[in-house]
Amino acid sequence: MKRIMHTVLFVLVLASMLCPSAFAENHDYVLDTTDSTKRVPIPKTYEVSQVIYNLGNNEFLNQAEDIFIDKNDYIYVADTGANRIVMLEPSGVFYRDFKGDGQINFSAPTGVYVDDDGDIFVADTGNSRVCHMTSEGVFVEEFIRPVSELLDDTFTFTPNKVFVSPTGLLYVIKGQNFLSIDANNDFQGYVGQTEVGFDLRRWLVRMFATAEQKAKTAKVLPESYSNFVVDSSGMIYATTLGTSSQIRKINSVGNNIFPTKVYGEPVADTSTGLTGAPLFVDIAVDENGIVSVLEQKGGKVYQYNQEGELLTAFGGKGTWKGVFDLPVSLAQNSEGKLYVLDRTLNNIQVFSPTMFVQLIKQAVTDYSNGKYDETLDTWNQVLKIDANYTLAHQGIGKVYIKEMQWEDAMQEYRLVEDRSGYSNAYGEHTHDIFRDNFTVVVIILVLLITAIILLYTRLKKLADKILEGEIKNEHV
Amino acid sequence: MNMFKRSLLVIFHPSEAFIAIKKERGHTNMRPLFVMLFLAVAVRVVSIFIEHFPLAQILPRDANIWLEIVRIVLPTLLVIASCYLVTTIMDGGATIREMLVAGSYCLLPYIILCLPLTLFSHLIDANSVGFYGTLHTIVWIWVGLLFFTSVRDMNEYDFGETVLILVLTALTVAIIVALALMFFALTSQIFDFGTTLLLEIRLLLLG
Repeated sequence: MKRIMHTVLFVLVLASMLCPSAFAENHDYVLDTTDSTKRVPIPKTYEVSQVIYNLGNNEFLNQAEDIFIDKNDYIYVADTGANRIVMLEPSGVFYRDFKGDGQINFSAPTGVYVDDDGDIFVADTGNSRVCHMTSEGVFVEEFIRPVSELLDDTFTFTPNKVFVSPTGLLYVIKGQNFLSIDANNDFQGYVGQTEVGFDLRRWLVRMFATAEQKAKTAKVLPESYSNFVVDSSGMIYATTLGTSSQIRKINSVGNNIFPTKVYGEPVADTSTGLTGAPLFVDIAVDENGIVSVLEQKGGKVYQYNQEGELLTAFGGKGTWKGVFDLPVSLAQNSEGKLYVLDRTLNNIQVFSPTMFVQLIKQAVTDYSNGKYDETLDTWNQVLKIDANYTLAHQGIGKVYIKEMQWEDAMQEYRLVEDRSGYSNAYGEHTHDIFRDNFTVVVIILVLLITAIILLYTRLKKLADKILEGEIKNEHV
Repeated sequence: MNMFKRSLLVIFHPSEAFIAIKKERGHTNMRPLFVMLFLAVAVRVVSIFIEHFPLAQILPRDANIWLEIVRIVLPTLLVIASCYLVTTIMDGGATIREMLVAGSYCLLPYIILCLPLTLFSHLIDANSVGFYGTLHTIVWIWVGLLFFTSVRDMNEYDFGETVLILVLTALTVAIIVALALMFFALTSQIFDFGTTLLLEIRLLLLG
């Protein structure tokens, strides 16, 4: 009886040790290079420096949908629920609001853009127009549904997000591409059409299915855009609602030149508990090309460099500082602070970059500008703070490869178990060795081949002798 | 005939080697089985440690010795046992001991070539991972061919019959695996039931 109790107790204790420990949710992290479901914690990269809720003057936000920061760091918020555009000073204090353009009041404005002169463009969704007014709120012009024989009659114009490129064209998201309108409200064409891609199974089905069967299969639509910005060189940075290549950089020809991979991580839906693809809702790009995207389902902000490598991920879901309930928009000011607008909590959280992430960004920028010595120094400073930061080792490895120090590169890549980087450096390393010691390599090769041939013939003769011995034993 | 001589014969004259195993009927020496399995596992463990980093599927610190042992021993024994079951009902001519010994000799190409292959991996980088994988596949094909030869020669089948036997062996392996999975699932359910029951009793007693 005692033995049974002991074994049962032992088994129960073992079972209790199988419970996994929870990951501290409020830790900044990056994703492991080999296993992208593993999160590797890193030191804090962004800290909440301010929460803008009470705007002063007894003003509050109401279901705001878009935030924009102009070049003087003034904050513009499309306060959709209150049908107005709110303008805040850089400190977050209420400055003024715009309820209309002087003639028509805004109706559910969901997007706002301010150009370098301070002119405000409002995506007045409820009125199906884009309104252009001066910084004082004086009406300049409005853009309505462009009339063009290239657009059919079923075309609806419900502008959601608006941006004006440096060339003076107004861009509005229309499903799977960007609609461009010039200053005369003329349709100037679609840009950046997403594509469905090739799928062998689908192609075979389409080839062999009858018309009826094809009508019953689900339509495969290319993914739509969710938000975008246009940088100073005219490139459109956009987020799509697809499952891969969700961050795009569209050049003047309309091609995506951002690395095509799966961005973000699978997110568990809080209501159903099922894991699904992430949902990117906004994007911000700084002058060095560091891309920050806002993911709504998990409430996370991800920062990528121009090569699609994750610098940091932070945020989460919740109702306290540092996490969000329903984040809808993201903006960056000139000091690198990130502003995240939360629609249900009606607040804006301001994240200031820490020394750590500023060093990282500087290292990444120096590398892309070709300043390899400075890059090495900066990455080493990053490693002094976090010796495990994978990107730092990979960055140093890349610099070593550029400077043809193969063995140092191999060592760096081995530290972070980056097989492809290690393999590149190794390939060049062996190439150098073979080239420098060509005669020795050839001699060794010849010796090896003769040794193998000799071994083979000797063993075969031995085997034949054993066989003869076997046959003789049989006949005996 | 000792193990080394027989191994050499298996490499160069496999048919005669397998027929020679049947000569020891009644007192078949089972030592080769344990020696070959041990060598196969040992070679695998060493190759995990010395495999070149870019090509390594698994790193030494993530490797599990029990998993590696089971990965080599279990398929071997399972295939040999299923083959024996099929040959007994299809006019076979070999006892289970002979089949086990013959099957373990079939692992020889892997034992001999695995280490040289791993050393060769140090000369190539990740771009040639496909080539390296093909070399491994060739080794396993050789092992398969040896097994084919052993089945054919020990039971005196012709080519077509051997193919049929091997297909039936594959089927038997599938059935055994399916049964084992079902057994595992059902016993783990019983185990869960048992632990929940004990937990409830404990909570009941402690109020």
